[in-house]
Amino acid sequence: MKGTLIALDLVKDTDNSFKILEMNTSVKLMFDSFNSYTDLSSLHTYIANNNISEVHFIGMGQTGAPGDTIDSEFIDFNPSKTTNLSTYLKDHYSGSAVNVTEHRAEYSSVNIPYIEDSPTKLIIRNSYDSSAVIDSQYAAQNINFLNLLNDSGSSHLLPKMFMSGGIDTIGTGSVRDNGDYPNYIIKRGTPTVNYFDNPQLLKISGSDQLENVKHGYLANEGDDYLQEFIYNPNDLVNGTIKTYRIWGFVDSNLDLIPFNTEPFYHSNPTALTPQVDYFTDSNGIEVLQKWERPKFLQKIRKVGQGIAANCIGEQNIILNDNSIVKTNTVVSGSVLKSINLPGLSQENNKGASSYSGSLSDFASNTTFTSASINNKAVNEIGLTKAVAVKTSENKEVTFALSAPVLVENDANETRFKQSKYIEVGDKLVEFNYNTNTARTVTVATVGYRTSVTYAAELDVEQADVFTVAYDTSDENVGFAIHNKEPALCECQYCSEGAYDAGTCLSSPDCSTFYSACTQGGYPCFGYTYSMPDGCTNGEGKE
Amino acid sequence: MSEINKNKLYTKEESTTKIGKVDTSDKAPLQNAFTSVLNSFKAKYF
Repeated sequence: MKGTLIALDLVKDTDNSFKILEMNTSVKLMFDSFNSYTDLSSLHTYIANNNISEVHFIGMGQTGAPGDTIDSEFIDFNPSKTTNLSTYLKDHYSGSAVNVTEHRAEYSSVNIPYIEDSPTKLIIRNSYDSSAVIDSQYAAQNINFLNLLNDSGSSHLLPKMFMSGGIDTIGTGSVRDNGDYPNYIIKRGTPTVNYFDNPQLLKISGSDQLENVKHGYLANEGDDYLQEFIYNPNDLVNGTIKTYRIWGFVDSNLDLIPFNTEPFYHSNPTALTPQVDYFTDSNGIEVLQKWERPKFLQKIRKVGQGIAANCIGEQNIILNDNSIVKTNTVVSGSVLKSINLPGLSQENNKGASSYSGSLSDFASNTTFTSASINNKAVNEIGLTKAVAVKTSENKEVTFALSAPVLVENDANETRFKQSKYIEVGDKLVEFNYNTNTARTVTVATVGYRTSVTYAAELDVEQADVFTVAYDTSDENVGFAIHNKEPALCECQYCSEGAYDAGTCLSSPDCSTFYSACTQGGYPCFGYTYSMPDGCTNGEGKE
Repeated sequence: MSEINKNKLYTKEESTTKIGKVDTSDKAPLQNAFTSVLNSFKAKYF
């Protein structure tokens, strides 16, 4: 018996009806506990009644094939409690006559491992399979899915839409009123993973503009299509737009296999503001500015565009000659100002997580050195989130979200801390290269900015540390950034913000344990849902 | 062209994706939508 997990994404309209946006396979389930969102008792009965003795779960290939993820830097639950479905099934059937085996697709593969079917096996697929019609023809090509629903008389389940030469449920009636927010969305008919540019959100004013978009713009844009953008001011969570997800498990006849699941919602990455920014295109249509997209969309980046970086485009980088330049002016071979930190690993790209020192080691006798850029890896320009810190002295410095920044913790240890975890009251270590001294400055406020810029990872040698300056200052002071964020394997029990092994690995919430992540063995900055490229299952990789 | 939010800073709360259960009254219409989709596929392929 074979089955597939599928999910629908929906939004709730102002009349409380639900409108379907798309269907997905390879379903990412983002919630804190399967116990809260599933009831396996009916599946257990189904397995018993059908004399099934083997359950095979085919999971997503590491970071996933055409994965179904949302872009979020922060989520409102502690993922240390998260376990995956196969683990949940294993736990559920532990000690019983039912054997649960987990399989994973190859990294970035669109094909799944072959498992011989039999009446006594239940094969649960939650991985994209290019040979399956429901995946390749409908999940991957939403326009086919929309046509299917429309042709079967279910157009009332879809947002009103228009396709040139196809569906037109928008008609010539009134224009949707979302106030100052976008009221229409143009989606690509051809599948795309470029969510930085697609879809486009518009604020259309009046029927003339609407007709212009329908019969002017769209007439020349292949199979792109127009939909009403559903905004419901009465259906927000903490001021943020919600999307609903209902998911289930269907067999090859598309009958539901009993597997009671709870629908859930997740919000967009950023809360709404009273006003949003537009630019006016050549047709006089207001188009939402890029930096506003996280308020209205869940996917905002090009898939494959990495977000881990140690500096952003506007970063003030301190060169070895004490001049300050922006990130975009440094290149391989540029010589940056660096710092000798006693006790920092001399092994290349190591130590961001294991280093622990004391301010007294260098407070009055800081030794500066130089570090050359060995490699500058640059992500394409996109929506990049950065951490903007204001100190108690009212000075501002911006860090890339993943940059390991030198701080002094409550135990008076100097450690690198990933900037996304910097909090009010933290003490940043500020170096003065005029007096060769160091001190701490207290964080007064922390804000997060989503900018249209690029992020970069500077790999510097021999020291793995470079320095950045305040956003507006050239006061001979700067902050130390380790050039390498430790990549994590699937260390699902890391507590958010933890950056020492003891906290990370002794969590009582640990439910999944990989051999390389032994107690005290592999320290973590934070958590990750998936393994980085090149990381073998269960192995630590720094 | 407006750029009032171009460099706006948001709090962590404002930058956090929220996840949660749906209202009880929403479960039936969501389930009905799911069933309608399955029926649409069945009508085409079976």
